[in-house]
Amino acid sequence: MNHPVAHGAIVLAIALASVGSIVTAQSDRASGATGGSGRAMLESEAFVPASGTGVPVRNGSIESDQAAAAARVTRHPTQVQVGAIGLEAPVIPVGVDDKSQFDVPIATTVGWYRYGSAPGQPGASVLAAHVDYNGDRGAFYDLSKLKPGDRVTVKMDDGATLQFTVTGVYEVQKHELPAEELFRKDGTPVLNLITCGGTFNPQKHSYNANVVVTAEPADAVSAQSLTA
Amino acid sequence: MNDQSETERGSAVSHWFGLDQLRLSDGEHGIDVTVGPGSHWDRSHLRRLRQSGDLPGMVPIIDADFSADGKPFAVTPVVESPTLSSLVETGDLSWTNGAGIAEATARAIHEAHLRGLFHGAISPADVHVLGNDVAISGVGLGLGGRLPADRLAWAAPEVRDGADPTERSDVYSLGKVLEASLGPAIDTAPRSIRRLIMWSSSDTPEARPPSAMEFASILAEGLGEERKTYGPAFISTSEMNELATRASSAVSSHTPSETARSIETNMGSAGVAAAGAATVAAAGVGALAGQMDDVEADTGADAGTGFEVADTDPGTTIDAEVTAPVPAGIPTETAPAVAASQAVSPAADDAVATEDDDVPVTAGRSQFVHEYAVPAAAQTVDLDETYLPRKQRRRAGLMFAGILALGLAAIAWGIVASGNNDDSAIGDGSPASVSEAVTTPSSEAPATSATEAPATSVTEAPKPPESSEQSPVLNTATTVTPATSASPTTTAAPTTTTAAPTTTTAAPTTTTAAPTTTAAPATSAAPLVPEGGMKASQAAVQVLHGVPGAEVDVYVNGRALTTGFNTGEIAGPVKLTAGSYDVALFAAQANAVEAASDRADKPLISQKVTVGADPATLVAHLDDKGQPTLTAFKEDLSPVAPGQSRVVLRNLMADGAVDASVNGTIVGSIAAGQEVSAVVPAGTAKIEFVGDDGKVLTSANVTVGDGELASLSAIGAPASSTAQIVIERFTGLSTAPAGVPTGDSGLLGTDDDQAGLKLVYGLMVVLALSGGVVAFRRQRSWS
Repeated sequence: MNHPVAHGAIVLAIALASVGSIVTAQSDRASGATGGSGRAMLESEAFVPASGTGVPVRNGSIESDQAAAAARVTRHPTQVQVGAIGLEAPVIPVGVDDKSQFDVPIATTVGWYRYGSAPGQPGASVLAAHVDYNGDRGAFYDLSKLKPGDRVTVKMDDGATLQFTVTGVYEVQKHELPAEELFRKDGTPVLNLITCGGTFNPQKHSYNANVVVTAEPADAVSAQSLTA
Repeated sequence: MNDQSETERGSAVSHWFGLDQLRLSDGEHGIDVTVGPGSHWDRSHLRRLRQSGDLPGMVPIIDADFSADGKPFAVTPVVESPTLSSLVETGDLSWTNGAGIAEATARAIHEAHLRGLFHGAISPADVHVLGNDVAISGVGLGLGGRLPADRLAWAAPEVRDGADPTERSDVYSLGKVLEASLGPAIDTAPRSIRRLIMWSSSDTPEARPPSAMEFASILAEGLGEERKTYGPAFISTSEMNELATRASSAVSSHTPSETARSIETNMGSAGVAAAGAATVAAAGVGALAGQMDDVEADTGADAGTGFEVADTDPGTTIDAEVTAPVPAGIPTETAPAVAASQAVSPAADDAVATEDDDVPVTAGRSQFVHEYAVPAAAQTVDLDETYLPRKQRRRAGLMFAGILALGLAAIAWGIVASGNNDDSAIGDGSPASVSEAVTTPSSEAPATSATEAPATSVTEAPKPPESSEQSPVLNTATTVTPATSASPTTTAAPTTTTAAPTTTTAAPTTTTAAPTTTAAPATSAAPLVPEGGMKASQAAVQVLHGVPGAEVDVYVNGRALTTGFNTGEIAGPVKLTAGSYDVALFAAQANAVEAASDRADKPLISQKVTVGADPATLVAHLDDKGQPTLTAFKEDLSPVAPGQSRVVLRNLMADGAVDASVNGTIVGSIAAGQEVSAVVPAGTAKIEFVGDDGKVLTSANVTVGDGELASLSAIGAPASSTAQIVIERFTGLSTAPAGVPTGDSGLLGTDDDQAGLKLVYGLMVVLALSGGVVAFRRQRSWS
């Protein structure tokens, strides 16, 4: 390494430090720290990231990962009831079909999107069912008749019964379906019930819109009603 | 430390979480010395406390160290300002302002969480309101203490039961603080806010909002645009340095716990109480004051700011040293405002703009690393490893460096401006690190997208081409380049090369909820590539230890990143600005050494590693010759189709090429230090690394969820049966279903009898249908 050039680098490093000084020398505290910076630069002849001591360290072994996975309790819905529209339908876990669309079960069975959240857990839990199927009414035929305040009851596979209160009912063009929001994986717990609506296209055998019912855990909602 | 000015406690000794707390005053300023439990306040906790001094929005830790008898302690300023508690009591606060303060509190505590510091029982009395800014007291001091009765209401159930505070326990407290801040207005507050309180107040930690940032975002949303936004206060302690330094020195060489206890005893018997004021009294303090006098005498300096204690005789009581209000200096020009989870340049002057920024930043889906602004000044504090006397040294260093820097800046400017080919000159002659920084190497590998089909599809990562011109911002690949001529072997970094994520879900998430300590971004390239290149080019980097049987200490640019790091462990993530870093691994020592330069031994590995803009994992492993080396891998977080996940298999074993098998199908051969990537349906995948002879070297069944990435590193030496798989998990790759097809028959809007009519009376059908539509719309109007 040749000296003059190395010296140049050091000088530059110090120049950088001086820029830092000018920028931050607004308070004793800040400029004191800048002094440290200058020193570090001199020592290492290059920048130094702040020491990250205290970074979290975890065991990455597959065994500890599996143990953590085993400790996780997963449950899923088995039945949905909506008294206001006389709905009582079985729920099965479903994924996506070969077009990456919600794999809606046939007829009067309701599908729970198993890649999303379970009802009551943070994030959105999504139940979808047909409005009609093969000429018959589907499980969610009357979904659009729900009103805010209506009660939705979900039974889970562990016997738990969760109560939700409808907070919103709306229709949205299929191409405008806010899928990212409806299927979000975190955030406040919400239960989204989805079916079809709007205009039927006989050629395509499909509707041009979706009906979305949003429900939230009843204890949260009713508590608000109480305090309101 | 906390709200003593508002409590009935008038003594010098109080308790914070059952910890002894000693208040000292020089008549102008006050400081608290909190003696922590040795069981919890270990070396790393003290380090975290020390390094939090720059955190805005919290009453700063002036110092934290061990006393002579090994008792840990922390020094904090006394802040006498209105608190959320006092403002609510006097009714001077509108509920929107109260909620705004709660929001700022959440954002501030979130920043502390990122540094591994928790509170445990945030109460309105801990939230100091300084104009339009807030600062929380007691952060990081609650670990391992006993919860006093007046704190019970604010602590989460698990903390009440003795658990250490966590992110979610602080979220519980935030919910309580928010509730209190609303006052009577809770009845009329928006539902979303009341719902947030309910949600946060869940007895089950898992059922609460996952982070304080999430809490803040939801709250901000509920408050809407009209809310008053509060920022994080930066409390200057510079005027207290003398006092704090002396107190620290005295406590260090004395024994603070004994000091405090004896004070307490004497206080009890003497019954000293000066309501509303802190009193420093009696034996312990006498001794302490004596110590401090000694310190002063020893240094022979600082006349005029002497610690005034009238009577230092043990057993007597000294009349009140009234704690003067701390001038809550909030030099806004230097206030290092925290930018939620947005990438912000670490430059201090950005802070002001950020502070004014009232955009509620949602945490998004990333739980991996929350970026935050670190003031340029702050990161350097850590570099100064000296402890107690460091303030004085820092001052001297500051003056020296400042003068030197200003002087030399002019010279440097002259050199630079003289028109020489300065960049290349520096690159050629200066140490490698500088040249690396100048060139900002980035080898953008060609995108060979892993097919995102439901079926298993695999793409073998190609070797990256030699570096091409690219700005650091766009740098999407990580490479390993030789460090110095003395460094051991290096390998070209393999790169997973999928097209850059196109959705907003690209931020990675680890499965651990561990708080992240963020390494402040360094500024290597900044002055040489000045056009704001570092803003968007920070990457979350994890370090994985894959060298069998060697406990190591890890240094980045000469400073300890983590010590006592074991095989199979993962450290981080830390946030690094794109650029080049010196990474060195030493055999672990019993006593951690902060600076690599202070170590006498030779590093096991010392390499220069270039970090790009994307999340990456830096793996220490054996190469195919059995030599330890470092390889950086970029984590591929590009979105996958709904119901899909990505697995990446890395061959980091000392055994040459292996075959990678996913669900029983060989998906490719992986050379040593390379990886293959596969998109598989979410669920359990059987992963096997297969040797030449068809023998499975190591395997695992890995459950990978929708939109998750599992990076599986096979490490160790199969020959010595040390081969194992280390897993890293990331989320945020998920995409929503493409649609919800839920009808095929067109029955909607018709009734059975109408359907019958339709067959016979066309005109009536039209009427009936229109009636149906009207009825349908009426129902719709409910929503």
